[in-house]
Amino acid sequence: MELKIRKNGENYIIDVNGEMDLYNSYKLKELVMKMLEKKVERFIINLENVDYIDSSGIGALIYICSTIKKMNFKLIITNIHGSVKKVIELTKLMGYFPITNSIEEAIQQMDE
Amino acid sequence: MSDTTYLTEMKEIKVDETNSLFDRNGMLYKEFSSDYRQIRYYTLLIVQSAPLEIKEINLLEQQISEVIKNAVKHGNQCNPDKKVRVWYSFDSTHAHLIVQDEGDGFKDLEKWNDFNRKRLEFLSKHDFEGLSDFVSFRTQKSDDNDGGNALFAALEYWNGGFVFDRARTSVAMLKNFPKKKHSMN
Amino acid sequence: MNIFLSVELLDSALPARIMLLGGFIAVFFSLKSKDTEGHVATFLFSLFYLLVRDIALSVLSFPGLLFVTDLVYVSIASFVILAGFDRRRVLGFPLVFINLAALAVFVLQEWIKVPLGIPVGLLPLVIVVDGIYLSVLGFYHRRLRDSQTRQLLRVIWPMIGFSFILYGLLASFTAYDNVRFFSLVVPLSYWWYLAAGLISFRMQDTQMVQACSYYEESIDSLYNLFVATGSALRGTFAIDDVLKNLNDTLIAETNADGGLIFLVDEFDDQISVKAHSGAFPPPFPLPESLPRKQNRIESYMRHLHFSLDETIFGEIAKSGSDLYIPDARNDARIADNGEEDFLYLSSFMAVPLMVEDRIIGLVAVARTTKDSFFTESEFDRYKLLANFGTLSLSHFFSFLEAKERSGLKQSADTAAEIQKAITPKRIPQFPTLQIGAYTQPALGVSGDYYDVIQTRKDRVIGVVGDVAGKGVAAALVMVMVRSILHLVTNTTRDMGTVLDWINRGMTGKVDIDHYATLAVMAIDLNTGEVEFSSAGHQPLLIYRRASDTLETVDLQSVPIGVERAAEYTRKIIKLAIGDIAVLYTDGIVEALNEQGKQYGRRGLSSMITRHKDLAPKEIVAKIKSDLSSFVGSTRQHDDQTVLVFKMKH
Repeated sequence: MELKIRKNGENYIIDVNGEMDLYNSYKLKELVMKMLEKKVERFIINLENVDYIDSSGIGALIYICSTIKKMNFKLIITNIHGSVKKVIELTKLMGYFPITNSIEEAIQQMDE
Repeated sequence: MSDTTYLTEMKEIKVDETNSLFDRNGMLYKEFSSDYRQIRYYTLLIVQSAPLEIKEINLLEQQISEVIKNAVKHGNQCNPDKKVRVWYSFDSTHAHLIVQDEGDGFKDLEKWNDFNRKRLEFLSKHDFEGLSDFVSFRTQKSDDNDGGNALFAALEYWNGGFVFDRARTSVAMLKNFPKKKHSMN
Repeated sequence: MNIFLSVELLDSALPARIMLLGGFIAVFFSLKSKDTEGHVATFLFSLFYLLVRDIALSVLSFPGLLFVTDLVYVSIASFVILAGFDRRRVLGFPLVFINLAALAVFVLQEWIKVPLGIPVGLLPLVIVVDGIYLSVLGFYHRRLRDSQTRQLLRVIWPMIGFSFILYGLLASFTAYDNVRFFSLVVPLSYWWYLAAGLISFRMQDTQMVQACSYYEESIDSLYNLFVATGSALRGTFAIDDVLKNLNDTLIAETNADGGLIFLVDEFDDQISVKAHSGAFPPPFPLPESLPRKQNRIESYMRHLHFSLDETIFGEIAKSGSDLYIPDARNDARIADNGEEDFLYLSSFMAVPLMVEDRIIGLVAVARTTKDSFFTESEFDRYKLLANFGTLSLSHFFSFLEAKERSGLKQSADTAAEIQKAITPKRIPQFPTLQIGAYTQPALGVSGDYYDVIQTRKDRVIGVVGDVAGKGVAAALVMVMVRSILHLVTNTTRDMGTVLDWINRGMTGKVDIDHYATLAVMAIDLNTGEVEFSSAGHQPLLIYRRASDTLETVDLQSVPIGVERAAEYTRKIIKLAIGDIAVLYTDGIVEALNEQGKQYGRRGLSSMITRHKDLAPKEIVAKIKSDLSSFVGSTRQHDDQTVLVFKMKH
């Protein structure tokens, strides 16, 4: 799994590439923690290139989501598709996670 | 969208030793040592004999890997001397699996059912604030790498049943697949 | 005053009148085939009545018959006309009542000789009253034009009214007593039939012309559609371009302000927007949390997706029925999301895309200008274009499928070719070492790999591997393993290190399922010393001639590709003359027979022990046939490979 960061105004977009499984999901958690230390406040996690996620990956997203919420910062998860979307639906977390269909909508939602 | 009778039946994990899902006749068999690093490898060995239509890209693989992970990590404590036994059978309309470990059994099953009930209550009320305490099931043995959400998905996914035996070291599950109606890219 | 003229007068003009009536009947007969409303039949009925009446008058010499039959004629004709204005012909009753009254008076007074004191000369004035009554009705209903009959009557009611009024006046004035009255006026009173017939012809003609121009326009639209979708096919072959062009064409041909195309997602049972153009206000209720700003709404619409019964779009995709809502503002099915002008939806149409009973998606168009509504003919045009567009799309998909199938076949062929290329063509034999090999794929391309490499004059390496997965990806793994192996086998390092290098070469570098079990044996041809290492593979079997026993050498290890830092150990074994070493894959020992029993290591071992004196090539053949008879007709799920080495003198 590879993680890339890019900026769009005040928003930091994390592009996740590959699979989020029990062996590497911790990497995303660590990255977000590091970014929080560096005072980043707006996160967009782009899962466009992720086609596999398991409970550890979902757990990482849950952890990230609650940490950011506690600090009153903003998080949006975008571009979930295929089995990733199915898994989030199976765990009934579609309403719990802040999700948009595209980065474009995520940025718009951030700005309001 | 889902059948409401299923919904009432599947709200909890049952212990049902005599369930027909434990009938190992006609199933293929593999056993593995409890090596945490090889969990996805073991899963691949099992899933590669499933027909493409039921794999749903990699959803079947992912769901099976969760059950094997539980057996390796929580059942057998990642002890390479302890085995994980898997019976499996696939065809275009169903996926049937039995996974057995050599551990002490899923002792927290009742706690899990209570937890899940509360979780579903918050969900039905759309109370996402309250839900946040119930998105991850943790015991003393859970670590940072445990998502605590695998069984929530499993109860939804294995729509033909998800049951433990009395010792709670064996879990049997079945997924039924419907006939295709809409298909186009 | 003699109203009742002699029959001879009537006689003289009869042939002419009959021919006239015959002509009119012919006209109406030819109109009958195109008549969908039945009014032609009533015209014909009245014409036939007149024909019969005229013939009857020439034969019967009943005084007053002409007047009486005229009254009846006027009544019938009025009924014919009034039917056009009023289905139930209720309007006709007053008229018939008046005529019957006049008839009664006439019959009573003139035939039954009851003295009523009404001047007979006034009675034909009833016809004038009829004419005025019809004119008033015709004038009153002159705006009706919703059926063919009414359109006809709109034009001819003045003629009929005028005819009857004039006829009645002249009849009353001349008391039916004038020769010219009979030769001229009476036939002239039929002339409105001709007018009716001609006008009907003209109306039919106009209809034809309209239909033709509609079809012409449809063909033009279809042509535009095909040009638009075809141009995408000539270009990138991307489905998005094809859909974009289709969407734009549908918008253009219906003069819409915005259009959407949804496609059904096979995997999710959902529909999602694949093409969006122009302004398309949402017809379904928007989520509360979505801010009512134009750019937000637009991006929301561009990325819509629903499951198959959510919202108006989901329902269409599920039920497969068309939706035509010309006046969206006043229709309960369209949600009112607010008064902002970018939310103003004035007219809406949606049509599902069907390929042979399968719903593959839907298209929708919208108008956003006030009081601008889609017409019925635009809806017909839209349905036509959507159906042809779907055909075009399905051809495109079929082509993509065929391309993929040939691609898959190509890829399977490629995998097979790769495999053929890396499978040893010939197993080398040595004076001190004999080798036999056998491999059997379960389904198509094998996941097993084996090789025999002579690295030095006195050193041979045997390899057996089981790659997880199938197809080109698995074949590539094999190629990588083989390449690395061939590169490093000339080293003085031990076999454990060799596996380590292979593992590092594969793990984390490739994005495919890269797991493989491997077992390697490096054999010294002179000394019989074997260095054995394994990555998660089945244990090595060794038959010892001296003690007539079988040993297994099992090294606990992980397969290749699981963990970068995995450690691989090696074991050194010495082979004596007559000893046999066997490498094999899962598929051999896990082969199942009809009873579900495994062949097992036992089955393999007993084969080796039994045929210990044969050459490896023959041993392998025996294993193959024994395995084959063991499994019978049971389908195998795993590839089978066996590699046998025997030390000779």
